[in-house]
Amino acid sequence: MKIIFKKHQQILESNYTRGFVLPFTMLISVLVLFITTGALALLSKQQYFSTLYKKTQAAYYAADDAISCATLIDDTYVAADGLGIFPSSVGTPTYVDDVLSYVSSKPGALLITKADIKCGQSLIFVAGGSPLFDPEFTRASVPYEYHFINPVTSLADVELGQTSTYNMQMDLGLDPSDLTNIRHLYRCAKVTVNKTTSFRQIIAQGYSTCGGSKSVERAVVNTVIIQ
Amino acid sequence: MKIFYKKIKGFTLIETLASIAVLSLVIIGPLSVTISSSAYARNTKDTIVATYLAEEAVELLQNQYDSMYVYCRKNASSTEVGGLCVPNLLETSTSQTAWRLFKDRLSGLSGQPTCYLPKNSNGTGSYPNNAMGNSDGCSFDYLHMQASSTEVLERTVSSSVACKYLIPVATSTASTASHIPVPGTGFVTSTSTSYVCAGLPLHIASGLVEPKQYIRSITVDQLSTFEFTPANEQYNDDLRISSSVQYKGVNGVSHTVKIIRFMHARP
Repeated sequence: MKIIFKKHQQILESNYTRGFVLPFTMLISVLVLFITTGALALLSKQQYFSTLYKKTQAAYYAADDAISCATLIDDTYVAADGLGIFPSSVGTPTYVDDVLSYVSSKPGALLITKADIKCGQSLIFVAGGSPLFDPEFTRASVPYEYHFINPVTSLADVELGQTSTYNMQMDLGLDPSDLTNIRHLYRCAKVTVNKTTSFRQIIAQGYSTCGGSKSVERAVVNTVIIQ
Repeated sequence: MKIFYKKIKGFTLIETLASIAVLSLVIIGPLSVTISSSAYARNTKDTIVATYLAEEAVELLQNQYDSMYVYCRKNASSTEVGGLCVPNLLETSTSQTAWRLFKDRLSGLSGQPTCYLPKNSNGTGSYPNNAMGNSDGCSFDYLHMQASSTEVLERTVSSSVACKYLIPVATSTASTASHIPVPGTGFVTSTSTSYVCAGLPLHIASGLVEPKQYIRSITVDQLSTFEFTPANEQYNDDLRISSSVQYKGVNGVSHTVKIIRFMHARP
């Protein structure tokens, strides 16, 4: 006891108790700042997610509009065999023109060319339809393979088709924030059509902005199996 | 004890003041962050409400066309529903007839405001049968959309005073409310008060809470897609639906959420 009392007395006599409040305040401050840093990290993540939500919504609308356009076009322009305008075989390079010729030859129909077909003010089959968002309508040289069953055990389980891709640049009208320069706003999407005679799959990838590294992508897929 | 009182002189006024300053800085920073994040959260809530209101308008319009299509598929002959769904000379399918009827409902029939924008200087970008257009757009509530497919869509001009505030649906006109199903009780048959334009819960409508205004404007652009002959254009077109919801944020600043979608006739 004597030793302890002596030690305590030494401490009291020393300069340790001078400036006690300030170090204690610093300690509290560090603790508060530590907690705040954690809270700020959470807040910044929340803000990031809310911004992302806004962008993904715009991307989803682009994909959804693009897929409705693709199904509309494929169901509107139908060839004599009942298949739509998107090619289902790599064999006929002029397939799209052929379908349009057939549709135009119907009684009372007007002449329709590839340059007439647009959706959301975006041309589908000709170059220049999406100047900000190239490339244009292209057909893959390698056939698309539709598997009736998986895994494939024989050639009869596979049907060959065609993959087509095109980009859309939909016109959303004038930018209300910049009416002096008469600037249009656009919404962009990339559409891939995998098609055989008994299967059609449309994949629409919508983007929050037409290009740019910070653009967010969302995709919608529509699959139809023709019985 | 004498020694203790002598050494406690370290509690100086300057030291205390410095401590208070440091603590103040440390507390004020997080406090301001908390306040601003709270405002941000409230603003996010308003934005979400406005976004869903805007989406609802687009979905309602799509639902109207789909309903009209089904209605005309069921009642295609001249003896049914007064021959409403009989195709005219230009129409080759039920979908085209339904598309025409649907678009007519958005135009300025029966003295109601049109949803279509005025024509552009080049003569495009609006409904052909409605040269005047309405740059303010129209506004409607989901109750109005649940009426019979044959009725003209009831709506107001979005910029009108009538649309800026909550309007209780009068008892005599509340029959549309009977279309709303209530879990466990079937359909509502009473004449409960409902609202238009503002998207507010009923308890807020009674004045218990200061209502937040959500003004919804819908404008429609008709855009040609192909076959530029006007006679056919009306079936081969896109409708660009712009749905805007305006609301006042926590700081009194006005915000707008806008959703644009395209609609087409069925093939």
